[in-house]
Order: sequence, then structure tokens, then C-alpha cells
Amino acid sequence: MIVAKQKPLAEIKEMLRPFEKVLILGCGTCVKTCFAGGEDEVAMLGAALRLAFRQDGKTIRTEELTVERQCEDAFIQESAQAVSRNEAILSLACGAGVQAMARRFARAVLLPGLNTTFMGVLEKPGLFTEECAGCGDCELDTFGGICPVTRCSKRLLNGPCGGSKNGKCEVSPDIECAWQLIIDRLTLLGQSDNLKRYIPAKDWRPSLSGGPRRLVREDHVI
Amino acid sequence: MACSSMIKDIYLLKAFESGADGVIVVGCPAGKCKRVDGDTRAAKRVARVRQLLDEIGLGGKRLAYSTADEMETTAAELVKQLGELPPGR
Amino acid sequence: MKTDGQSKLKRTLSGGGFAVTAECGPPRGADASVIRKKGETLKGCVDAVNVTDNQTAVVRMSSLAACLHLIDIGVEPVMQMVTRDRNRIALQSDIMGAYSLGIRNLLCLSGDHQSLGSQPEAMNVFDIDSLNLVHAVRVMRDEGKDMSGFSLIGAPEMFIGAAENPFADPLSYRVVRLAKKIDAGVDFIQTQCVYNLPRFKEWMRQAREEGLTEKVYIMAGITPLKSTRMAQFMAAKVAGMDIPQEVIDRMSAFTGQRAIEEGMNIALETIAAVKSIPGVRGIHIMAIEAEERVPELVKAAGLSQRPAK
Repeated sequence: MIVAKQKPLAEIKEMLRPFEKVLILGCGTCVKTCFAGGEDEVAMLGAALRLAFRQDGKTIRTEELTVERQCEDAFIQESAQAVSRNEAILSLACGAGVQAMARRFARAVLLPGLNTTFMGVLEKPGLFTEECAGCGDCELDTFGGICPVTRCSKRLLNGPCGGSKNGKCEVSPDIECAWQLIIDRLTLLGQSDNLKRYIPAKDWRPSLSGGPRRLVREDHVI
Repeated sequence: MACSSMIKDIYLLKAFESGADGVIVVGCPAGKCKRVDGDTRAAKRVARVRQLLDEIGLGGKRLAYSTADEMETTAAELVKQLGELPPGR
Repeated sequence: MKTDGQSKLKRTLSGGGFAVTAECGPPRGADASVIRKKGETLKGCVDAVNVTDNQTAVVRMSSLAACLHLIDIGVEPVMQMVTRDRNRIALQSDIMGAYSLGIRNLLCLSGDHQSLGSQPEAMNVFDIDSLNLVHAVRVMRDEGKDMSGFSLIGAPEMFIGAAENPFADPLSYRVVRLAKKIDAGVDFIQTQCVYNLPRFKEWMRQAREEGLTEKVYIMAGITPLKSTRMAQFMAAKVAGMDIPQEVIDRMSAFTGQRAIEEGMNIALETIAAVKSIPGVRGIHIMAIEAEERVPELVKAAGLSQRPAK
């Protein structure tokens, strides 16, 4: 899923300062799972903003609504009326959702309430980790299901580097050395010969480096 | 409330929105939670909301967590602290 | 500027000699005199001098430029190149430029992560890794082609080096990694500095067993310790550093000038020890910001007779 984190309250407050009536729009999929933008978070943020503006002697009128997914037109259509009766929309969706809203409601002021970060998983309660960088050319079969493009801080395909310490990356002791994990997993799978294979330089064209990407499915185009 | 862990953060903020100057969340004595870790979860939630209250500008000191047996002292302490703060409005 | 097409380091090693290289870091600024002074100190007592590339991700004068300053004063450089800051286009471009200006030795590295350096806000590159770079340079040299297959107008015939750390995690994999680097095209290896001789000997033994010492020139890294604090700091903070307790204990017995001397003694013992290990073809002295110690160390080790140019 896409993992995001709510922006600091002070930053959101500054974005909202010019407005009197704001729609706080949540999303019920990815950002709900990472406790950033679901219904509960919308309610909390609404209360927090009202209280915060009250401290400044200002009353802000907030409307609260959450749709299933802000990246799908069928769902964001439901918010049309709420959008029209507010001056600005504080979207608690990921960056894709915010932009989908901006695309659909061209005259609406869209403000991002979240900082969207990565594609990841819930590794254990309360811990979300980055797993996939969307390189567009998956080689997870070579690396025992552990991605060196995402999880090696240096994107080494022929790792490791000499910087790891006790199986942790030189960048932070919170980061496991991906290559240690790869070596251990391949050994476990009896595939350690993969480690002897020279992996050539990656073709980055299918990644964001090649420009923002599109996927067209002709069989679904009407 | 069957368990302090059932207290959602939003109830705490709503209490302040309705005009409370201070709030205490009371949980079972340490180690005695009937639902194993309800009191831990409640305490963590309270800690988070305290931080949020600081960011809001109200002050996290207005929110306290206490176990049932320490409630009297916690309440007295909170009242004293509130005396030094402007009203929650 | 000399562009006689011959790497002295390569000549020394291929001629069967025991090579000595040292290292120096360019200044954090545009003052050429800093690097030239270091060069003068090292001139004549080593076969070549490595010039680091924004080492520890701290912004410094470029390795390429600093190498040219060394050539200008008659010192042969080994240009270090990391893949952290430049993509394949820029790397190949700089290699061709470097060769055209007389640089003959290239050491390929990944580089320390920028989050540890002086400008952690920077975006990193890591378009290719150090093995991809080694491979690319080998193809440029031996086939005269760049990474797109284009036939180059003038092939950069670099003597290709890489670093290897016999002391890093995971130990079991270190020799596999060395073999991989050799297959990719590495001519010479400079290791992380050696303090743990048994572990180094074991790594060399495994390398010999795999036939790798026939295919690559291995140079053992040597860094003279200056104080107990330095030893403790390196042991605790520098990744992949293995300093046995006996060494730290030896240093703790002394302070000040006596400590520096003890550090030199340990270095000299290490040099003598590695020199006697079959397959070790030279030493690489890393005395960063202490380059003035190198001439006396080389002399005391009996390695002053460097083959003439």
C-alpha cells in the first residue's frame, strides 16, 4: 500500500489560514491503513484545527467527509456537493488522490494534508516499511524476494558495499543491510549461486527516471 | 467505558472542544488490565493526544492519565496545573 | 603533461615488484597548494597516490582536478571514482577526459552514502554500482566501446582497481565478492586497513585457494594509528573496521609522541607480516591528514627503493 504521514499541524494550519470554510476529505484505503487519512484521522484533524484556530481567536468551519478511494472518479464524484460548498479542500489522500481531485474539480483549491512517502507494508503493528520503488522492471526472482533497488540505500545490484555493520546499513542502525538479507535468503533457498552472477547496469527507462509513466490497456479502452 | 483502551482520541479532543479545561483518563492499576494491555494502549494514546494538544497550542498538561488507585493525586495535581493556565475556552 | 600511456603502478606490479601506494584527500576548496604540498611529501617514496572522490560524502575539490595537480608535480595519481554522485554518462565522460589528461589508474567505488556527509540534503545518483563501473571501464579499454556499444575515438586504457574489505560483514561472502570483481575486470585491489592479521591471512588463503591471487594484484591497506582514541574511534565507529583488542591495548600503554611511535611500530610489523603472505603484491598506505608520516614509514619498512619511472 501507499504509506503517508500527516503534515505537522502548524503547516496545515498555515495552508488553511486564508479560508473560512474547508472540506476535510479523507480516503478509506491506503492512508486509512497507515493511520494518516481515514475517517478517524479526518475527525481528529477537524477537531484539532478548530481548537487550534480558536486559540488565535478565529472560527474555522470544517466539513468532514471520507470516500472509499480518492484515486477513483466513481468515488470522488460523491464529494461533488461538499466540494462546491467549501472554499478549499484539505485532502488527506496520497499525492495521487489529491491530484485526481484537482483533475476532477478544476476550480477547487486542493491542499495536501499528507506527505506521501512510499509503497510498503505493515511489517509489524505500528511499523510500516518501504518495499517497492516502482522501478518498472522487477528482478525480485534473482534476489530471493528482497529488493536491492528499494532496500539497499545505494541501489547496488552487485552488493554489498563495505559499509554495513552487524547486518545494519551505514545510513542508520534502523535499516537492515538489504544485501545481508539477500545473502541469507538465497542461502536458505539453496540459490546462493545467484550471488556469483554479475548483474549488469540497470535500464532505468521503465522507472520514473524515464519520465512520468502511463499504463494503457487497449482491451479496456472504450 | 468497559476499558480505558476503548477511549478514542476523538472523545478527548471533543471534551476540550466542548469547553473542558482539563481531562483525566483513568485506567486499571498497572498489570491488572482484564484485557491484557488495554491500559498500555490507553496510556500511549493519551501521550499522543498530549503532544497534539501542545501543537494545537492548548498545552498537553491539560490531559492526564491515571490508574484508578492514583486518581486522587493525579486530579489534585491537574487542578493545580490548570490554575496556572488560561481557561481552555 | 606526460601522456606516455604507461601506468607506473601497473609496470611495478606486472614486473613482479612489491608496490607501494598512498592516499590523499583534496581540499575543501579551490586551493591547489594543499594538494600539491601533499603530493610533494609523497613524491618519490610511493609508486602512485590515490586521490579520493568527495570522500565520506564531504564536498571537496574534484578527484580529477586534484589528480592533474599531482601529475603536474611529477606524482602518478590513482583517480578514485564513486558512483554516488554521477550517472553513467558523466562517469564515462570523466574517464575519457581523465585519460586524455594523463591519468592512468582508476579505482572504482560505490561511495559513502550522502546522508553521512556534509550535504545530506542532496539527491544521490547510484545509477550504476561499482562493479558495473569496473565492467564499463574494462570494455572501454579492451574493446574501445562505451556502454552503448559506440566505438570510441581513443580508448581510455586505464589500470582498473577496486577496494575490498576482508573484514566486513558477511565474512563468508567476501571471497565470492572478490571473484566477482575480478571477473568484472579488476586489475588490482586495495584492501581496508589491516590490523587483524589472522583474519587477513584467512581471507588471503581462501583467495589463493580460488586461484584469485593469480588474476589480481592484492595490496594490503595500512593505516598507522596515532593514539588510543583513534584506535577506539575507528573500532567503534568505522564500518568494516576490525581492530583486535591486543592492538588497542598496545596503544593504550602510551600517550603523545610515544603513542605515535607505537602506532608506527604496529604498522611496520603489519607491513612485514603481509609482505610475507603469498599473493600480497603491495601495500596501500592510508594516512589521511598524516601524509608526512608516509616517507618515514616506507623507509623504515625498507621499501624506499621505488622503481624509477
